[in-house]
Amino acid sequence: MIHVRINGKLLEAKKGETVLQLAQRNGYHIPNLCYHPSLKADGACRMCLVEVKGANAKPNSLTTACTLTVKEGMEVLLDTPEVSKHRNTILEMLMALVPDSPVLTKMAEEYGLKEIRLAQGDEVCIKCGLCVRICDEVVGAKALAMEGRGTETTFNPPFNEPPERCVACTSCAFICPVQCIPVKKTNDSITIWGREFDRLKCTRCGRALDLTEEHMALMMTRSSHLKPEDLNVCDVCSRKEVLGTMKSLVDGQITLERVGK
Amino acid sequence: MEKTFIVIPEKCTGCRTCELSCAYSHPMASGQPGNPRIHAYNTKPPLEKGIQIVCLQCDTAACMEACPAFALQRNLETGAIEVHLDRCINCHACFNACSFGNIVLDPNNRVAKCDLCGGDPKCVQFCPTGALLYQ
Repeated sequence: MIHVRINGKLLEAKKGETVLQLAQRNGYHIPNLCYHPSLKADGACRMCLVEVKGANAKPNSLTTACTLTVKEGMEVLLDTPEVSKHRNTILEMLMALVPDSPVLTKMAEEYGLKEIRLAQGDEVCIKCGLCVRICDEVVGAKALAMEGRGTETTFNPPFNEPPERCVACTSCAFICPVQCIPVKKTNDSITIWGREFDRLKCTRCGRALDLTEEHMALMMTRSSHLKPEDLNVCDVCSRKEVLGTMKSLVDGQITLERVGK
Repeated sequence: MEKTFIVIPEKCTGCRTCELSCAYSHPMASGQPGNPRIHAYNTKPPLEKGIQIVCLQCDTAACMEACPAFALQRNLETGAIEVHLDRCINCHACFNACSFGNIVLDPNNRVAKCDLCGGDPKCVQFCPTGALLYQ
């Protein structure tokens, strides 16, 4: 066990844990936009700034909690005036880039940021790169890429064309902290990143599934137990099938036989 | 994992109290009740009974294998597979993968499944005819 102090309180940390994980596990709130438990921390949004003391830290050292691994004797302060000042500057820059985001506006209210002194942009994306990372590291479709530098960075499919490798799982749109990726779902299709995908239909009842041909192919690469004939059936029809089997069991039409006994 | 969830269709009347208790014991983040993770169906006469369908907590679970984010993990104490919504990326792979239709979508479009209420299933407590057992 590693001993770390957060806001003066002594906590026991696990080896390899980050300060953000430790704080969240113990009920402390650290604001963040680009942290997701299923991804490696990236430190892109800079909102999770904390002040560190001890464990060879420089005096008044500020760093992102999501990338900071715990060390014995570390002392972390979450809400000092220094942290607050720098965090508000970062938030101000984000809000200058993306003026109309409800998520950022709520954060500004929470942390007392009143005016934006910088020229206002007209972007919708905060350039955190979560969409690219989730597609790459978790979903495994690798349909998106980062392009350009600084505030000119864009997160798009390569060459800004309808992505060939996208499977329309819509995880990128779900995970986006400012909800800026448009998805259009109709009864027949899912449209994302400028490409229209056909939704598969349940083979029993014909109801549109939340699944595309491409997503099914990607899911089958994850395990040999997943078969198209199972994936192609909606949840209601799956339950009906179980119901049929159970009914025959209750009626005595079929009997359970224990395999191997 | 000393206890087993037992379903006795012969005793079930199809009153759906289990569904109600499930929905109310698993509210969504907004506080509204979620969708029930157990289903009770009325079978037509002459066999006037109900049949309950609930997650089997499969040994080789398709939902766990389909999840790319490792959001479905087995609770070693109860043996139940639980959805960790903080890790979930809402791709609905588990929802499509389950061959028994036991992964449900809550009204807010998040996935949910039977977690055995952490070792004390509410449906078992509320079942008026004793058609559900956990022992």
